Amino acid sequence: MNARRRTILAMAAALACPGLAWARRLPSRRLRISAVTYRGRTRVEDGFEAYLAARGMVAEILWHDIARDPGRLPDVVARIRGEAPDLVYTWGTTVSLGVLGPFDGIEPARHVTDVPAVFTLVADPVGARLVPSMATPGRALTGVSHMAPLEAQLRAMASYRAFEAMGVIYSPTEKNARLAVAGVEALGRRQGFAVLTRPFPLDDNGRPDGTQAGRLVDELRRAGAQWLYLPPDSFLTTVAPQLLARATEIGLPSFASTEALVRAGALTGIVSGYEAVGQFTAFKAEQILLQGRAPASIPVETLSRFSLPVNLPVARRLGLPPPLAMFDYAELLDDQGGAR
Amino acid sequence: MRRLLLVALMVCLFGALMSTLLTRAKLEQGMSRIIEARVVSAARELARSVERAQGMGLELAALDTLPALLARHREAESLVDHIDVFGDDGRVLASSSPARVGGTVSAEARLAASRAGDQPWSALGDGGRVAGVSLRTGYGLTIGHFGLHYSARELATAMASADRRLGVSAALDFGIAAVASLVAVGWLTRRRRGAGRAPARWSMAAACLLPLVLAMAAFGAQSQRAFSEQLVPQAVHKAASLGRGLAGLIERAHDAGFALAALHGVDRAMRELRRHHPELAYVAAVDGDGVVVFGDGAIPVDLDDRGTAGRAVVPLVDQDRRHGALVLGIDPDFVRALIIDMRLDVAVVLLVALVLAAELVRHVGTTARGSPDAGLMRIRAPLFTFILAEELTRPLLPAYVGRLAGGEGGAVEPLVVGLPIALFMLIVALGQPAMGRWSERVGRRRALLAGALIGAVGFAGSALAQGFADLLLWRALCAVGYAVVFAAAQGHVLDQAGPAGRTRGFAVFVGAIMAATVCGPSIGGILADQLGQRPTFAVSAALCLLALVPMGALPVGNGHRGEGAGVRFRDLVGLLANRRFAVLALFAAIPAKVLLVGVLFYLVPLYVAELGHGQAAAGRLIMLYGLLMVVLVPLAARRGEDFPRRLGLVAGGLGLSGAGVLAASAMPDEAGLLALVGLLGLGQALAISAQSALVGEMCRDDIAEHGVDAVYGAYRLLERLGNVAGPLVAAALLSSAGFGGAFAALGAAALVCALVCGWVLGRGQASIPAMRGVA
Repeated sequence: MNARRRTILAMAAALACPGLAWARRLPSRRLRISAVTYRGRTRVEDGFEAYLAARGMVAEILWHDIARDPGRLPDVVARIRGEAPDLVYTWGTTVSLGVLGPFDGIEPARHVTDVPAVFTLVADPVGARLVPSMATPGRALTGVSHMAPLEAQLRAMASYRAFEAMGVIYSPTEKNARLAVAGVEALGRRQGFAVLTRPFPLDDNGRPDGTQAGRLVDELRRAGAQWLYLPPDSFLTTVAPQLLARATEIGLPSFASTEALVRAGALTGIVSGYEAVGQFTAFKAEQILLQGRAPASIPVETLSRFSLPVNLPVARRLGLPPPLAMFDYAELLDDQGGAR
Repeated sequence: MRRLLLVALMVCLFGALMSTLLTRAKLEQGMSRIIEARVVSAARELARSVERAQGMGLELAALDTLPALLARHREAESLVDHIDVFGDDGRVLASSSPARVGGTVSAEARLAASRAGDQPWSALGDGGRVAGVSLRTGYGLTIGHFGLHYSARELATAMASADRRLGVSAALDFGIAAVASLVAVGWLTRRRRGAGRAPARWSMAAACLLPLVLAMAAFGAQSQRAFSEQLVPQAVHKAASLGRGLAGLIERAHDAGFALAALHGVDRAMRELRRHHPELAYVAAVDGDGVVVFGDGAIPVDLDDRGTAGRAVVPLVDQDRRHGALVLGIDPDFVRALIIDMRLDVAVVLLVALVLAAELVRHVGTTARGSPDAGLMRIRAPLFTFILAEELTRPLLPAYVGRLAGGEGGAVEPLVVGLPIALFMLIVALGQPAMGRWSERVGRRRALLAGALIGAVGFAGSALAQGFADLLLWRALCAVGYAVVFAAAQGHVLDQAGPAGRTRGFAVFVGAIMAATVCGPSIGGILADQLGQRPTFAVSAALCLLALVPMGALPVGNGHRGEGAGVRFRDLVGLLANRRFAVLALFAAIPAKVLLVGVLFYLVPLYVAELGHGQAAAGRLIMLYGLLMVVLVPLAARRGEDFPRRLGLVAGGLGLSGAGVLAASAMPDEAGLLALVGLLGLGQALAISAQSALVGEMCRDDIAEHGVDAVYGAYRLLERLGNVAGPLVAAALLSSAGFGGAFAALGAAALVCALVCGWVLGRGQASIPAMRGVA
């Protein structure tokens, strides 16, 4: 249905039942939102609440946290059912899949299906099978991704320092990482740069082994890599501090795809401000709750602008200051961890 | 004698007024651009510091350092009166002038800000101008707009001093030129009279023009100096403002622990700056000892970091200690680049002055009592003036229609833009024969007066039009006026010249129209760019009224039988049954007119705007077409002396036109446009006389049966229907295939028509004797 027809129908509905339209604009009771987080409150939730407050939306938010334990999800789902909320909010891929289920595998017994939902901080909503496509979720949920497009990441990398060859270290066991590596390789073929890949070796249990991380970095440097690219990769994130220390020691600049990897000591990267992600999520919640839009028709989106943090101590040790123009928009991080 | 002197004065006055107007407008434009760039640069700096201070939260008002920040930035740029922060609704949320908080900014500023996206914007504010940038969240929501209000004070002061200089120069140069013209004209007249001859027209025109040319050259040189004096200091201010932006980044890097010499990408940032601001000859960073560390452009060897004329110096300071400086040099020649396209406009003015002088001298010379052609020639001046009014509007009409139909910034169907042109052509095509007959009945003079009055109302209405619907009505009135004047003037010429002087009469008629075709579009484009579209329509209305004066002096003129027999439908059908005539009409005459009106009057003005040029550029192109016709038509007419040559000229000319239009689709730039107009003009000029002659040749039997007027009347009617179809066909193609596609389709169709016409008529030629034998 096109927008004009929709407007006309909405107008007709408003005329036929003015009380209804009024009620939707100003809810008669307080809105209730059930929110589920993975590792406690983050700045995403700060942004989410700040947006609601700024727009004058009064909502009661009931918080649930699984403390990194997916085993608690069934219990949380049961509690949400009892709360009868107007909206469900889920943080991260694990929580979102656990509460809402993949679009092609919804089990009404395990998943919340009868309440509109917004998810946030899901790196790859399509890859995770939360939605079949970003443009039209097709079910009663929508949400926000925090990943910058790969092309924008590589552009930022090249504008920091031009390169002809880059290295990637990743866990072959993680789908997100494999997808990112494939994307980087495709871009390399198109734009004419070499991509040197070094997957973590697997131990006897088939889990990635991080003890060899330093050696992988050295290998990449010797093979001629001018940048080390760090894809979204949970295992990589856990071993990143040692790995990045080695890279900086041997003069290899590193580019991070997530904020956690920047905090672990990468030279720079493109990341979403968590607060902005939270605000954007609240903006979508507003469209559902106040404007009465069907979540299925609200596209899943990522931010249109990202921040570019630069670890100044790393830049100084590498002797690689950001290009002058970058001082205009980079978020400069210094020893104290604060932004300048 | 007195009248000739008056002509000399008028031409001089025209040249002086137009040159001064153009120069002044250009200076003002250059100056306000520089001033706006200064303010925009300040706005960007402000947005950056707010973004840093606030870290992209939601509410700007929550930033308690905001008022201090606004006040500090206002202090830093002397141009700025106050700085507002306002929301999408235009409400002022914070301001460097606390009294403004809670009020609203101008509607123009609100609109410009909401449309600008990430780009800086500028608009009219209350009591001055506003420029600014918008701050948005990472997901596109507006946090706030920064509006920097700056008054016209600086511009007004600079313009006042420029006005004094330009005024004195213009008065001196053109005053001397006027005196020289008067002396020369007086001397020529007396000498000729002494020799018992009438003064030669061209020497008279030269006597009027030569001093004018010299004066314009002198004025041009002086005004360039005035430009430099006014613009270079402004450019230095702007360079300082740009330099402060760059210095801010260097200081930030310095704070982060990177010394100036260790920085990366400094020259790249400088190159970028110079690319966006071509008036910067060089940008250099020098260290504390004055040694150049980074630089881009032609840095002088003896560069020092003291402020001298033509350069801006911005110190690099760290905790009150100066550790270097940025030096930004202004290219003194940037002024020249700025006025290059003004030179073209001045050349156009000169050319128009030449035509005008020739027209006026002719008018004075031939309408004097006792002159043999006096009655015939008297139509020339009013006809020229009236047609000039319509021609003025050619380069601006499509854009004007689009603006009125689309409102502010809305997209308009190309067909809507083409409609007023098509309606105009339709009324002229169908109305002319009837108007001819009517003018015969009421008298040519009364008809002319009525036509010019209707035209004046039409143009005045167009100037004041509020929307598409009433513009359509006003344009219809213009068309009625045009049809009446055209037909009555034609009738007047025929009345006065008589059957024997018919050719001579038509030469006078066509000459006046061609002269207006050369002068009108170019001057109209200049006026539209400098004064605006509505005032240009007002000028057209004034010209119509001006034409009333010489019209009133014409003989009443009725009782003669003119061309106006009218075209009967039956004749038209009968003519079209003549297969060869039908081929000529359908595959040559109509396509040629579709190309002329559809491409030149409709697509070209829109395309010129699409390429980012002003209406003056469109006017110059349409003038180029007129010039080609004036020069080439007489030459081509001499070449077509038998059937094969005529056919060759017709088919070849149409083919050339088509090739020109195709060239524009192949080369989507100015060169392609020039090729289009050049080849179109050449092609039409080659074909026009030969085509008319072919009609006579191929329709001998029809002429014998219906009379020459009926045959030619039908032929002209078909041509004019081509005029009607032109903008409609072009618009339909434009909306479905874009400019490239429209050009390609029209060009290819013209080539096919040329081939069909040449082949069918050329083949038929062999069988003519046989057909005659049968007949």
